[in-house]
Amino acid sequence: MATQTARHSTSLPISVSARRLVRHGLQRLNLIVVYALLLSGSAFFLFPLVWMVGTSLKTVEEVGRSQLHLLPETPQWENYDKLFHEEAFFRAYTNSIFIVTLVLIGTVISVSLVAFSFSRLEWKGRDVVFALMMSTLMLPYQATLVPQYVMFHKIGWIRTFNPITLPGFFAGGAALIFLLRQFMLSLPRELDEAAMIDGANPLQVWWYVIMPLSRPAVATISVFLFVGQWNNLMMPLIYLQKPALYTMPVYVAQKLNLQEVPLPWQDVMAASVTFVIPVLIVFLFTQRYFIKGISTTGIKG
Amino acid sequence: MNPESRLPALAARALSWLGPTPLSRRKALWGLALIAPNTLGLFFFFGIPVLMAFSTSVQEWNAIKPPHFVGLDNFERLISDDKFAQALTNTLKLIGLTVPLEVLLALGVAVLLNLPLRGRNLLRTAYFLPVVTSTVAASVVWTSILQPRYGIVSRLLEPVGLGETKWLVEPGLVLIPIAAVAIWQRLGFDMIIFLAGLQSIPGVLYEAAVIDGAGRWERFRHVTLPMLSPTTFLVMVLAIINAFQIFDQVYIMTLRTVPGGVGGSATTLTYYLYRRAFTHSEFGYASAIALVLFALILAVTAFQLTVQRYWVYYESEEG
Repeated sequence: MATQTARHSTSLPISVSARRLVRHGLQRLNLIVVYALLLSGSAFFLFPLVWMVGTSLKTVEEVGRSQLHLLPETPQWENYDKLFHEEAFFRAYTNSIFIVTLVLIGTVISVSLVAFSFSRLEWKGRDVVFALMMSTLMLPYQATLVPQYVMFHKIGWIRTFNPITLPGFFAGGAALIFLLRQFMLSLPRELDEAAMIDGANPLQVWWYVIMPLSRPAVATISVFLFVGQWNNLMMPLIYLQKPALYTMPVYVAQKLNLQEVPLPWQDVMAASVTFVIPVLIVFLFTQRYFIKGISTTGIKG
Repeated sequence: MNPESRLPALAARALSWLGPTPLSRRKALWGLALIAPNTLGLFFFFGIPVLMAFSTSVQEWNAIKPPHFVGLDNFERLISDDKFAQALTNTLKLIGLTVPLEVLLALGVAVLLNLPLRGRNLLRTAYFLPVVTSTVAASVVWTSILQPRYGIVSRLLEPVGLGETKWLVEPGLVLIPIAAVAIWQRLGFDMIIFLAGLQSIPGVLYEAAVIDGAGRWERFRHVTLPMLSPTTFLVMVLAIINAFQIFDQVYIMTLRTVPGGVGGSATTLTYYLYRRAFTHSEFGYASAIALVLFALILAVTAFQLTVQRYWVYYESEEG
């Protein structure tokens, strides 16, 4: 990351002049074509989200009718009122929040300790262990899905949150470790030494010196973790197995699976909207961390 | 010599292995202590399962009988299993449907959004929002808009005679909407990587090209594309790996009709693995499928790495 920021700052004036060149070559007609392309494209990309909100506010009758209308005649806010009074919805939502919170706290602590050790403490075999840890990145999650299930079954963890929450505290996160380590390597060495001379132990250096300075990188991994965990379908699907433990993705799938004809799409969409909104809000406020993270590691969540 | 008297000597050797001075030894111990919880967890939650994946794949293991060793039977069964062949074909078709289109569109959008336009950041956000949207919610919406006769897509396609098309039921069509959702959700992600790549191309190259009289198309063809090829390579590898793992879309979009598509027409490798393991409790067979999936992903990555030297340009190579 150190080299990257350095390169970025030196290339800035050059890229500005490059932009001017492009601007120079861009005539008004071309500009109109570019905008037309980009705007129609983005309309296509936003349409499903708008459709979701629109449908969630329609009446049963409007949804059942073969329709072309994006928005309802009069918004039916009571669709949401009904949803908020549903016990299963409330439980799924709180389960999701509970799991995400645990995973977030556990993983950030565990992963940042490892990144700290890899970047700011010297010990024999460090780089070998680091390389080994990075090699787990090649493993697709499907490879361990079945044996993991068998193992968790043996220790009685099926129908508990443990298989989803505990690995966060104790295991893995190679991509996140990589991202944090890169950032921590870029912080000046003298900081640790000064703190150590003042009598701080490495754990204190981690908590009082390095973690506060690593806030942008910690923010990046937190957003990744939040989005990835909140949206995860597979793990809750195979491990939770009973409605009282369902998270939002499983709950929304259950709502879609109702064998009612016609399906009350407005209810399914209202549930989807409440499910998607926290992520969109978090994303809108933390965009730059998210994008930074993707462009440095090529991963998400 | 009895073992007790050797202990201090051993301890001393272990200590000196850690480092030459007391301070460096203290640091080394801290270093090991801080990674210990995560590393032990990694061994427990992933290391053991990885080893088990191999041992499970050579056993017959289901809910009825206790597991027992069957040698390579599971892999033999894979070869003659039509459903597996279908899942593999579907996965490859999905890669074909998504990767080229997705990479091309993402490149186009990234190039346009790299221009100094007003409202550029807002547009970038619009293209990126689907990436953070849950695949479950996205698939739900697409299931709704694709309903025959009622869905808005069907209404819009009515004039061309596609109003009654059952997109999620027809075996020949079902992969198209699944690919569409995958592209819709992935394009913004690829775009970000392309934008980072575009911004790292030194401006002097464009200036030199202009001096040489290159037009906009020539600058794109002879400067942008070659300079961007490492990025394109990365995006393609990631896109293929991602397409290999498609699951959520299949699960949601075929939930209301026939799970996995009519006659397995929407079943991907990951979905097939999921069904074998968690619907039919065939853990041994599912482990064999997982290993094949892993080997395929590795093979694709290795293949890409070997062919990249024919089309990927790295700056350090220039002579």
